[in-house]
Amino acid sequence: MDEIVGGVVKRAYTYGLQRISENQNLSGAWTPSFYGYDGAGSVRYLTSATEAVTDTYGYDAFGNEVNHTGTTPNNYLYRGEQWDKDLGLYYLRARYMNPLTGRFLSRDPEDGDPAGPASLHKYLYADGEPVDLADPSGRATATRSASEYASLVLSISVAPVVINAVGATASALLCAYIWEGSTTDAQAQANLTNGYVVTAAPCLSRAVPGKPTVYPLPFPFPIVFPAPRGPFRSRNACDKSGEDPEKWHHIVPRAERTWAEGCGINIDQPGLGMCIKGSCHRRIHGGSNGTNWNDAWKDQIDNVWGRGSCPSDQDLVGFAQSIAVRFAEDILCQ
Amino acid sequence: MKNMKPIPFFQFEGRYSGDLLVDSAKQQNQWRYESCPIGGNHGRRGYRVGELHYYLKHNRRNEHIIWGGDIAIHASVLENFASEGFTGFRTKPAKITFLDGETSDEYREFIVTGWAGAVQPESGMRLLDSCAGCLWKNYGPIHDFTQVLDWDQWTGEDFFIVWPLIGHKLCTERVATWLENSGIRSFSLGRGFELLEKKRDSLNYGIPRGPLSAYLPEDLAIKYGRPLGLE
Repeated sequence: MDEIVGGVVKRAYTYGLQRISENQNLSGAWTPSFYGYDGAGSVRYLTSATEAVTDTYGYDAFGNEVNHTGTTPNNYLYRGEQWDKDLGLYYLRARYMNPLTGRFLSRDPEDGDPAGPASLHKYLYADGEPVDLADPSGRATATRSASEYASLVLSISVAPVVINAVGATASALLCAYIWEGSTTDAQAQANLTNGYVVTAAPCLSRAVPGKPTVYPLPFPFPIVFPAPRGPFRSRNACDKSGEDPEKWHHIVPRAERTWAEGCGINIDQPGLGMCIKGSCHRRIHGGSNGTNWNDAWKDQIDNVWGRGSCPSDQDLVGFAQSIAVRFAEDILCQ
Repeated sequence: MKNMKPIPFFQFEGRYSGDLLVDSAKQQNQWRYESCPIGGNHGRRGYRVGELHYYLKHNRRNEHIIWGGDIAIHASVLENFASEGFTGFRTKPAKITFLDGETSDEYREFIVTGWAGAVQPESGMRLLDSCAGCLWKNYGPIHDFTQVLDWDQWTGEDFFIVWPLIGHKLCTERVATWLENSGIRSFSLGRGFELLEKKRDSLNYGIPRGPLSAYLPEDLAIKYGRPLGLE
């Protein structure tokens, strides 16, 4: 990609999966510089063709430069975004952002999410959490990396469990993880070290009555642990009595057992299933929103992940949560 | 310098509706999975053993395009593709076993080989993680679907893919028009990325990928992958 001024190429950028280098005419000589990024995607240094560091950068949370060495002209800085030095603003596509105020210059073109109050603010950058979040489009706050997903997503069996939101105030409850055997946050945390998965589907469904919503992770509200109830109990605790006995619903479908085993996933583990009424179970597998549970998984495995590419534990759990939300009405027979 | 103007394109995918799909459980017997040789803490990688063999849950012989993770297309359709001069694919032998047990070898595995490079960073997609031991990579979600394709990277072929969205086959308007008028039923077409946008949430949970050679013929994996470090 070239930057042209007055009909003359001033700079040329090389892209791979991200911006790799700029090559610019400095005092009559074409001079390449290679970008070095940190984990948040911000440019932290430039190197020359001889691998020497020519420039370094440091930023505060909103992208204000707090230190800078070197003199190489470069417009791409915080989060790898384009810095307009004349305006003193970052160009984030739909809008410009002022790092001095942490606000966009114009209103949010999107409505925001009622369940995420920070997203309703018309000018706030990255929901006011610029360390953890970003907004590369100027339209929606996005999580920065899978590692952040992992901080809120409970992991299955092999990965360490970290739950940032445990201990958040119950009064802010919009949704709850329901955990067998846990009546307090501390108990829940202790149990979680055993590495189970739960999903928040029913609560999410109720948060916006009649409109199950798929929330991106991390959830925009605290997670708390009430007494065990709802569908997330152990298989043995399924209620087999009555006219509509509960069935054990595998979150990862049994039809994908071989794929799961190949990927090292035990679909029978307690956290990857739930007790639901038999009639609800038939609904889940009988079709909803034009597809059914198994087909939704198959679509994800075949087309997004690829049958030969196993997802990380965090991504598996994230998708499990998302699909549970998508089918929440069926899970609850509502 | 950007030279190539965007062209109308379509996403070409299966109809994910129950009975039309291949039987995943039987299909999986053809796959082998292996862990990372250096013990990387990430998803395993699988590879198919032998030729494509799909088991169907129906007996409809008029379903001429069979969708699983891979695609099988009836030879008669491929002959039409050839006579129309469509480009951007190769084929390999495949077998289809219908619900009644009859196995057909009139289908071929359809491998899309047209290339549109890698998703542009302007789309918001980021490489989240990678492993030097097995070339595993994991990519993040897309925030702006209008910025996915860099047409300067497109090889100009009728069927094409863009890295790492290789599960989502793309085609030109002339292919889409032909398909819509062909009488073939077993596919969906969406203008641009509209189909993918409808289920954009599914991209929030990682796009894990092995080396390009796991998805494209070796010669093309080298040709397209080497400059991008994906080979």
